[in-house]
Amino acid sequence: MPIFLFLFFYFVAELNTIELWNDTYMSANFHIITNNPLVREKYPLLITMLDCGVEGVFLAARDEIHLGAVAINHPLSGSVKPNESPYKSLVLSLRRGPLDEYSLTVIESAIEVLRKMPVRNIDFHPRVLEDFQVIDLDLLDSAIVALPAQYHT
Amino acid sequence: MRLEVGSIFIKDVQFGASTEVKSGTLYVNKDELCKVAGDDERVKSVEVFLARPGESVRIIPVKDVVEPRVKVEGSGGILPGFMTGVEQVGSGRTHVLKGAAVVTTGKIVGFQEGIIDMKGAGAEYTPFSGTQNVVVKVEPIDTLKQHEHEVVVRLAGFRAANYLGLAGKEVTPDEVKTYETLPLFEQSMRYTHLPKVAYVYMLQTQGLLHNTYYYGVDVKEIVPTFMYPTEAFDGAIASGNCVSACDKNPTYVHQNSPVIEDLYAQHGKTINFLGCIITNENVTLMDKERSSNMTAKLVRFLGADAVIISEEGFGNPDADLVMNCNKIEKQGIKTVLITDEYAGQDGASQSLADSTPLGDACVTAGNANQVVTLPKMDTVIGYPEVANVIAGGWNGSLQPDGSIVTEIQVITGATNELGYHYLTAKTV
Repeated sequence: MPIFLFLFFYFVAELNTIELWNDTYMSANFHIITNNPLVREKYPLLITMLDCGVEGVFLAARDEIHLGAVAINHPLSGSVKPNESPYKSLVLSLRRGPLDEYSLTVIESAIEVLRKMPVRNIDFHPRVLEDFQVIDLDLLDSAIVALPAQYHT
Repeated sequence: MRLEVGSIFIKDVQFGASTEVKSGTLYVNKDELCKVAGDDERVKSVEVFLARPGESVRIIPVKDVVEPRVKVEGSGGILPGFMTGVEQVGSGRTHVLKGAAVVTTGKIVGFQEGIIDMKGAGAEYTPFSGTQNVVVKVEPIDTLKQHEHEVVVRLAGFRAANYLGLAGKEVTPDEVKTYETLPLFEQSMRYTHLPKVAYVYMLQTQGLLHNTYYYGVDVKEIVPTFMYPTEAFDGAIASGNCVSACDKNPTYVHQNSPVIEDLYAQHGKTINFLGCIITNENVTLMDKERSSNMTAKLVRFLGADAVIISEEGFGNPDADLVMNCNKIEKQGIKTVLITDEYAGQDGASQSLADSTPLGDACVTAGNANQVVTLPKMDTVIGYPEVANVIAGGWNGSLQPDGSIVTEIQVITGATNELGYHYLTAKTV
């Protein structure tokens, strides 16, 4: 019997947590395109999770920008080079307006930088992968903390 | 603000019974230094090694390099906000153990980078192959996560440097230089026949392992502000940046900023050096807009005719560099930019991630993608296996014979964007 009680309360607590996230983010007017599992854990309701490399994240962001989204953080944030870290998280507006030419220039330039860098073929240890995830999440957090006033959660 | 910098030339470093300077040799009491550097409950162990120019020694991965200095007269202390309070620094007298350096090593993240070779091909790419290095290897307690680990190694290096700097407090310097910047109106009236030049000092400020501090404050949290140039000589700017070894500015380079040195050298001769504006390189595009607007405003407010702008890092900061350049030039103020390049291993690709036609006076600090072979060293201090996973390396960079084939971006200071390095161009 106690185990059923425990499960019942656990289930209720989980529901509340999800509700809390929903309350927090239900009005968010931006989202995060990412392939970083740590970002998914921290911002589950704000992300579009992609199963791809950094170039895939850049291309998805470029497509959204072509459809009128605005880039909020710089795609080349971090001195960890884009051909080095397997993870990237980009913040974009949900609003679709006229093409934002600066956002397009920035993302196209990032794609160009990525493609000129050699493929490094490194099979990273899981601990190193976690380090990359932590750095990417921290850079993303820097952007979330400094969100321009017109963006909100 | 007037600062006398007294340099005590250090030509050798040895372990000794007490920490002192005698006849140009820095003697280090190893146990005492370990105790001071490790004075943090988050530190499990500290080891200290010596690495001298010409020795077959490789230090990898390097976190930071700090110069031992001590305040002899005047307010505040070296590395304010960390090692002392937050009193204004940059005036009075400071002694420097010139030629000595504290190098910290510690594997904060698995891809930690930064190589200093004391001999061979690699030594030609780092200015720290020429310093008498006291290497502090810090192991934190097992449970420490990346954020705290960075703090722990950073502070251990600062404590070690300030401890060694104390050895120079009572020593008569071999050379004394005086630097002075007057309050703005007085300074402007001083050399009215000379062009007024300011320095826009961009600091890396993006997040974990990418931060820089001013009097202990994370610079990504500030808006651009004015700094007397002599403040940098007392460690007002401290590095928490330990990614991208070639073009990060170690604390040592901030303490010895060659841009500030050169501007002072021309002060009163060909220019009137007004001072520095420190600014950040944040991750959001709006922060970049705000900071570059404020930087341009401050430059105009100072009444500058021209500015030097130096960048730190690559990619994201290229956007800040271009914004600063555009907005300052559009006010009719000339700019000269200092950056480095990621132009591909053949040097044929676009060098920066952003550009502007107004950036028509630009100094390059070299191509970080240039490939070199670093020969095997007899002694490795640190963790040699990281050569395979650091930026600029690849799977197989570390050769079976101990040599490393890599891009020069792994070498500490190889393309330093303040110009504190050996790469140069020659007319042939």
